[in-house]
Amino acid sequence: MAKRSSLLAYTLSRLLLALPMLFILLTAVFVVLRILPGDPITALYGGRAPPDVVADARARYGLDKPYWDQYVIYIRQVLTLNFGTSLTDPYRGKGILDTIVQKLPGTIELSIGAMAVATTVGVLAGLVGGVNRDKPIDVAARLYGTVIFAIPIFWLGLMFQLVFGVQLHLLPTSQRFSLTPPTQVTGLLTIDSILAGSWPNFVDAIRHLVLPCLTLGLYLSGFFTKTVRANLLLTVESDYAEAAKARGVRWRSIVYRYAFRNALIPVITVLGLQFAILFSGAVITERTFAWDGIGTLLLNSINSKDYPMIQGTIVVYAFIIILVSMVIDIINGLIDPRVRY
Amino acid sequence: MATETKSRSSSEITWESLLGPHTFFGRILNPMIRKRRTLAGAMTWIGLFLLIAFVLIAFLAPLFTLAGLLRDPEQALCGSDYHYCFVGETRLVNQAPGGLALMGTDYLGRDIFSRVLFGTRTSLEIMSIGVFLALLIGFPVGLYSGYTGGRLDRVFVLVMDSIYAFPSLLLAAIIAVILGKGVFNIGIAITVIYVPLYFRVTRNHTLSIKQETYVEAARALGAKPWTVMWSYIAYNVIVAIPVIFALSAADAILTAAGLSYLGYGIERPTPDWGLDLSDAQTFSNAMWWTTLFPGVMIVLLTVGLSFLGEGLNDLVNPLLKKERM
Amino acid sequence: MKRSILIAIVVVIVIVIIGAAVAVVLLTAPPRTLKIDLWYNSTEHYGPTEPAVAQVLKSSLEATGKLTVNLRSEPWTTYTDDFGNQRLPFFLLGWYPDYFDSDDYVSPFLSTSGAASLGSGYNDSQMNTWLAQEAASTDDTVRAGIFQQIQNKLATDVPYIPLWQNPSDVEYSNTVSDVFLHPVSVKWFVMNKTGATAITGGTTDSITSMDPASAYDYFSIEMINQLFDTLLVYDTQATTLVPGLATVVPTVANGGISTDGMTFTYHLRPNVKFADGTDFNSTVMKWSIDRAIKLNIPGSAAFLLYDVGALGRSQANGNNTPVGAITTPDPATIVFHLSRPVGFFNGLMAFSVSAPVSMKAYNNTGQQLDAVGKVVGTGPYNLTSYTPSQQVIMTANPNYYQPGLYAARGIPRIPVLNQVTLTLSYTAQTLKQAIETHAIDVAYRSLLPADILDLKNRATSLNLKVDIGTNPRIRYLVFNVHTAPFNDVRLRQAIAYAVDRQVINTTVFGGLSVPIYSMVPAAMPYSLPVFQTVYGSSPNLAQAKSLLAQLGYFMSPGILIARDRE
Repeated sequence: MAKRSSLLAYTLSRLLLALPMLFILLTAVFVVLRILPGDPITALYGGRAPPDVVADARARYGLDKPYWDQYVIYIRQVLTLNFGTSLTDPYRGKGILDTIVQKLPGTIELSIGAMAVATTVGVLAGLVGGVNRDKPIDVAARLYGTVIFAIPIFWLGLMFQLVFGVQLHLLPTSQRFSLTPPTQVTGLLTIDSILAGSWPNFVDAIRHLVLPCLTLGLYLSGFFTKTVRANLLLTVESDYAEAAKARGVRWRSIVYRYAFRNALIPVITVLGLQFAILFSGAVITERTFAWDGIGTLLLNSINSKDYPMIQGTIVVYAFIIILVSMVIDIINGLIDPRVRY
Repeated sequence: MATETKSRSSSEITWESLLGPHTFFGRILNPMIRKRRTLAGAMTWIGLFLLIAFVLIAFLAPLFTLAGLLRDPEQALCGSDYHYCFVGETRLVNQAPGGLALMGTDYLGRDIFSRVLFGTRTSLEIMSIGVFLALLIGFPVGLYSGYTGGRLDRVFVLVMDSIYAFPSLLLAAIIAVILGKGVFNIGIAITVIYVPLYFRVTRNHTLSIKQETYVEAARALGAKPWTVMWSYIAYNVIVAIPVIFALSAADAILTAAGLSYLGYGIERPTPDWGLDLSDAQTFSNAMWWTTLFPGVMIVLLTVGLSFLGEGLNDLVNPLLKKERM
Repeated sequence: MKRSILIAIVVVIVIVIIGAAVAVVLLTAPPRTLKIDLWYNSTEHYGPTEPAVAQVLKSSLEATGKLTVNLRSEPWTTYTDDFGNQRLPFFLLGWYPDYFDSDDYVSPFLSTSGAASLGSGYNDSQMNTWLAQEAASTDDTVRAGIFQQIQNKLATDVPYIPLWQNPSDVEYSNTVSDVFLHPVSVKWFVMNKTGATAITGGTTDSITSMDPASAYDYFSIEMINQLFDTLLVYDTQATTLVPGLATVVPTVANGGISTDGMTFTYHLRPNVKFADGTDFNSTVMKWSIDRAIKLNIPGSAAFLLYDVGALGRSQANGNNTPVGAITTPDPATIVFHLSRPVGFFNGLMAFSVSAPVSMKAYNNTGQQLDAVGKVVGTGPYNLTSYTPSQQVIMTANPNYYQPGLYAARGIPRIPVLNQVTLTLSYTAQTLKQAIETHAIDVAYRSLLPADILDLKNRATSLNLKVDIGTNPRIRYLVFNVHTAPFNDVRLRQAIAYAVDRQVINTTVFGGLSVPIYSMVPAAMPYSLPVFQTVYGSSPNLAQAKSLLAQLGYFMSPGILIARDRE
């Protein structure tokens, strides 16, 4: 009972702490954007309209007011969850949150797929290496962990595209779908295809997911490999494993029943830590595969100086990161008896 | 009183005084030589070899071009003998690798082999600026902050942790957009990303060494804070630096390549691996040679630095725990 | 070893290394050249080929041996800000006309205000006079004469160097016919496909808005042209105007245009209904124009109506046109009273911003949502499905008022096909794949030049047709004529001698682009290839070098000192 209430307290305190952090982040982003050179309003017209038309447009968006006034207005809007409307093509006039919500499922699908690949490959490599310590296969696993981090994500993606797409013509090399997508329920093409009962659409979505998830997943798996291997070695060399061995329990049993389970516990923690790296990786992966997600949205809006979009996207992403790391901490607390809040 | 033996006064420099077991280089080289048969040792030597090879390439490439042994990376090639184009000639665009162009030509008819070699210069320049500046800023600040403690330390930790928590590529991209393109500007962006890392590592080591008895003894004996910091603490912490240096250098290469790929890095037509990969994807999509070779170079250099860093980590860090003055 | 000896050895080695480095630097230093910056846009506003063009231009200019070109690039937002404030000395730009009159290829560049907003700062009173004269005149011979003078002066003053026009291209299955590459927009409602009632298409574009009061980008305007009608519309292939919602094209001869060029009268067709059943008449027409002007949505083309079209925008009248600017004597007549003569006003009445919208479905307080049932026009198609950034489906309007609009062109009724499904947001690579595999019937905008060539070469075996035509957009170089060193006309002329349009064409566009020798492209009236006449169609390096030598920059080694012109 004590643990549950302390867990609740912990959750609440984390959430409360998140709000000021988000606020500071929003302010920082706002300031940075005003420092950035370039003007989205001039770009809208590209020199075609007379200056008074441009000035009028700027005034309509409130961009001619002093920065402090703009900031106050913006914060007030955000507090009512109104992140404003997009300034530049192609989302000009559309609500920021609406656009973000539209693009988010793409990145979610990519992230989940990549994490699945990363955990599978990484944990496998770590376990295999740890169990066969110092044998050639362990050396290979350790080298894999190091080398995979040395490969730039976009190059890995490009090579996959070359091999599987261009040379072998096996898999599509960009975007989320080739067939007309099913009616949108969640935005996740795989789920929506199942809900619509359309097998071709499901296959299409999976085919498009393979290469990007493989790329991002393999890149992230290196971290899992090293951590799992290190933890496995620690567990295997620990006292209770020795004691079990002394009692005559078979080595295989020790490894599978004790060591594996304990070695996997930090995987959850690693998942949480990886999220920031996942974000950077997803942005590059989306660019490489022309994937319609938040990363592409962010890059395009940085290029077009769509202030509300950049501010909104970063805040939403930060919020997601905070939420996910909090959930992972809670899961960690639930499964790891050593953690106390 | 006459001395019999030739005394080794402090003004003499011997090999031992440079590379002996108590010097900076010595403490790194000795484990490397002693444990060269282990995986860690082998990795360290391979990494060092790769790094030296790349540095040599960076320095020698322009000289080779001057001597005519290497083509100019910014000149287009024409004709059946792959000479530099004259006005009115058709460029040899996207040609497959062959005898006259070892790695083929790119979308503007330039020799990929020379572009790939010259790209080393750009990457190493950015990396050096970034990582050296990060070291120059992060190390002293971490040392001072860890030693002094108190409110200043807490402020520094807060600032550094916030920078560290922010996704590095995004932060670098934003700084790059503000500062503009160019080797130096990207170097600054890299610096900002890695200062927190150097700060953290230095501070952590400082904190643990601060507790040691010999440090307390030195302070009790009246040594000034700066002396304690530099002669005692820094002396021990600094051995951890090459590891971080190599690892952050590896990461810096990747970040710089990523920035160039996204379009924030270097201005064309300077040869740069990330930029050439981005152009290859746009203009030479099915031509494998435009994508393979620049990428392989990135991987080799990064792997070399990673091996160096990780190998040193395994060799040196156990040492750090047992180090005594 | 003694320390001192070791130090001495180290110092000697360092000196040798430094000496070698200095020697290398000096030996590899290029001969004394003039360093100039060439700016271009790096975020694909003009397509992904821009960096290639910039690098090729750099090579061409450096072939003179006296110039060193430093490439600089910026995202479009910073680029427009910088050139709009005349901060860029020498840069690449493009222009797409808003209306099809040769005036729109000279006024925006050579008038003082136009040159200021496009970054060249060109300011010549003689040129301004000529521009005003040709804009006010409707006499062909008179205009031709003035345009000749304008273009000749353009070639001698060289504030801009016209370079090339990109082709427009469309690729389609050979079961499809009547695909016309029209400069303004491709008409999907005239296309036909053997044995089918529906057609599918693909594009790399996406739709920003289907509200005529908001759209100002190519593809949104294209969509509006299928769903809405305007008073006048364009012929299937040429840029001649034919009656649309108006019964006849106003001219001075038929009295539709007053002799002073300030009053335009349109007679409207009777019995035209919107897709929601409401009537179309002069009241609705006036309301729609006022709506676009009143809303003045940032980024929209409304200023073409109230500023360029001289209709005016009056705060006193609720931000609509001033009272009396548009009059509706009867439901079938609408009269526009302009504040100054605008010879090309008919062209503005064919622009999407002038499309009438249903008063019942639209309001004049905000932009209309892009949704089925909300996009209500009088066009040949109705919007029946729209997923943003993904797909748009249009179905035939059964009550279309003028199915025989293009009967004279051999198309008895429009729309020909019952349904058009367009898939949006392809990438250039996936669009090529889609048309190659016939996943779509028609691919329009934008494939890479190499891919266009590839499809063209394999067209018969792929059962495709590839049509290539010119695009009205022109690409050119801009000089800021007030910034050194470009304030010296001899440098600008030298660069005009040195540019190589052919190498841009072959290297970047696979031979598909069209070199242009005047800001007025060859397809437009009164166009003269003045740059070819004066500077030749291939680079003249000898002339370029001699002009550059005259500039007197190369007197002192390594340091550039501008000499006073004698």
